Amino acid sequence: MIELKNVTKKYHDITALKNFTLQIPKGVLLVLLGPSGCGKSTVIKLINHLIEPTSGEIYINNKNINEMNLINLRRSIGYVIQSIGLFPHYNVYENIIIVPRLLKWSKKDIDHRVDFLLDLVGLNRNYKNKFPFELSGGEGQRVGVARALAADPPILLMDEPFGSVDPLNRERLQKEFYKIQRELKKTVLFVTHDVEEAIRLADNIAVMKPGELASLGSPWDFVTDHREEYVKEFLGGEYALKLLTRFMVQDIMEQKNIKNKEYTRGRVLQVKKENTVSSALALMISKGIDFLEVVDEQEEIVGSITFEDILKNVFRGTRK
Amino acid sequence: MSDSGKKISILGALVLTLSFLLLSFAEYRPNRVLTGTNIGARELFGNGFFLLIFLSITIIVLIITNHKKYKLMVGLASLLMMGLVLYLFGTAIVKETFNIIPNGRISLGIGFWSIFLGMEMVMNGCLKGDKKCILYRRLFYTILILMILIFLLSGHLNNLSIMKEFFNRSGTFFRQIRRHFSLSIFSVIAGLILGIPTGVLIYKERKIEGPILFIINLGQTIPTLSLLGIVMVPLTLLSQQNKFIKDIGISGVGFAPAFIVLVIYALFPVVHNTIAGLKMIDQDLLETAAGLGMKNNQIFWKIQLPLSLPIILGGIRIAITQSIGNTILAGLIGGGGLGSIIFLGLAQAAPDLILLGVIPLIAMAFIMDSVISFFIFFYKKRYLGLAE
Ligand SMILES: Nc1ncnc2c1ncn2[C@@H]1O[C@H](COP(=O)(O)OP(=O)(O)OP(=O)(O)O)[C@@H](O)[C@H]1O
Ligand SMILES: [Mg+2]
Repeated sequence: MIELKNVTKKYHDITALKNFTLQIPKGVLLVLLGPSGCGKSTVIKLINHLIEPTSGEIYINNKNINEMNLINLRRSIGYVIQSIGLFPHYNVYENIIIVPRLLKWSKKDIDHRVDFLLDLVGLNRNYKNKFPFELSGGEGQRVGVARALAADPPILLMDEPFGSVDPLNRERLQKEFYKIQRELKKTVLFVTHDVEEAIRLADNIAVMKPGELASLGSPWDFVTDHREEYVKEFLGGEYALKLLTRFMVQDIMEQKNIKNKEYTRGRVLQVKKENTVSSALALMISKGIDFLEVVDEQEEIVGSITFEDILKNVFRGTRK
Repeated sequence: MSDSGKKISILGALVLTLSFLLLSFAEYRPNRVLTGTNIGARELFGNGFFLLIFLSITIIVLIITNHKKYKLMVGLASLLMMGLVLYLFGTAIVKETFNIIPNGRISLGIGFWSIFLGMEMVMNGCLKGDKKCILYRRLFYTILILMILIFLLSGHLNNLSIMKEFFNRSGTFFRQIRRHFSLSIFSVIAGLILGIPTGVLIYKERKIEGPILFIINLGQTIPTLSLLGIVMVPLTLLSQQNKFIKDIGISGVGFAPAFIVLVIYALFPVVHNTIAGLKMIDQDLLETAAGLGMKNNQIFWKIQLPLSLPIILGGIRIAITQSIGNTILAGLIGGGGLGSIIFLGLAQAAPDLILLGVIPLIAMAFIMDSVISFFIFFYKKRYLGLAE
């Protein structure tokens, strides 16, 4: 568990954080959303103690970080820096294994781990010998993510980790990351500007305004709960639609007898079960229908989805 | 090739042509100190003269017509020209005519220096704005130096007066080269041992930057000769008063004061470049290194030092070439080195003796400069992905 209590951080005369309090329970992925300069990176750097709070306390697993061994603390936290920060004189392999090497892992374990991580972030294994200057921004960023995950740390601090990855790979990385997070249950603080990314990944979303927390809740809470005009504005009018990208058709479909075609008004169209619910809705809207058949990879019909299912399952709070 | 580059190289090629037409390539003197008669290229090189003129004009044509591979062709033509000049010169001076008087001497005429100038202009112009300029230049001059060495070692130029000076004192000559080299190198090494930690310290403790840099910069502003004087006085006193210091060979003259002055001079580029190299590193990288859990000493050895190495090496390069030059002064106070030969030549007004000291000095500086530059180039390309 990560806990910031009444933390204030001043850089000379700029107050970057004002009386900031936030909790990230163990195993929870919290996304910190907010405009540029509101203090997101500052929060991250306070947690791994790269900067000192002007006042207030920070706890990790109920221990004040001032009383912890700084080096061990940092080695147990995976850190993705906003500016990517690959070391130019190290190749991809050497960049990834920095923490395992500091922890004196065996060569064999390290090699296995690197292969696993490169597969995970979707980089070819022969990238190991490339130097950072030979990588595109997005490739470099993926190496940065692999480096943070290298020693399998229980805590992850990720400062816009997918910022310069192209949309296709970005979505793939988000899915991949969501999957391992559900499995490994790390405690994650994930910073982003991107509302859709926040929706896809977050257990909790914290929306910041300059120096302060504006609102905190689950992705569903923000559909209805707009305590502040600022939050509503920041999340945008299409927030509810964006929320649909979080779900796959298979999460909310009905495995009922699809011979019952009471819903159809026109021709029956099909949607793949691992497509997002938003793409299913888009298809319904574009064809003017409210019923789709759901098929699996083998094009076998496995169920159906209706407009009513979407309303019921997404917006009335039930998740399969 | 840029327009201004073209102008420079054409001008250089004209200098080449005019040198052959107008200037003297050899000076014949009946003995060592008397002034002699000048001999022009036409007389000295015989029919080879026309070949040389032809080559210079070829270079001009290559440049003007912008031939596809003109850089390579101009380089080859220049090297061919230099080889030809050396060959013809060697052949000419064994001719009976110049050997009548046993003490007669033939030295290089002004034309030689003039064609070096012309060639440098041609090179400079051709390579202006070229990314690999430095590499090509070094390649060119390395081949040129090798060529000159081959001519010297083959004995083809033995009748040249500078070679006579060389044979008269070849034992001392090599000893002084070694001495010169080790004095320069060891003073730089001492400069590194003192300078790099000083630079690191200043980088970490910005407060001490002012006073320490003031002292180091002061050392650089005092003329070398005065600094030598300043160092000699306390050393003399010390060695007079302390028997141990005297016994280990330290005194106001000779090796010790020269060494100290050279170290002081080496400090300047080393300290400044160490600071500059460290300051240049992206702060985000240092923050990342710390954030990943590296300790301060790990950050220094694994991140800061390797990343600032090219700039520190640049400082070392300056320190060495500068030190090789400054070591001449050791000759003034009995410290040995090529300075002894040069100052002897000055005292005897024997230009060939001066040259005998100066040429290896230039070669030494050039070679060290090239070796370190190449290393920097390689390191940057391999590890940092930066071409020069
Ligand atoms: N080292 C520093 N010195 C002075 N001011 C700083 C420093 N670091 C950050 N700030 C200021 O603190 C505020 C918060 O910065 P921070 O980097 O946390 O923003 P951010 O939310 O991460 O922004 P972005 O989304 O652009 O990365 C900004 O106003 C910034 O100018
Ligand atoms: Mg930031």
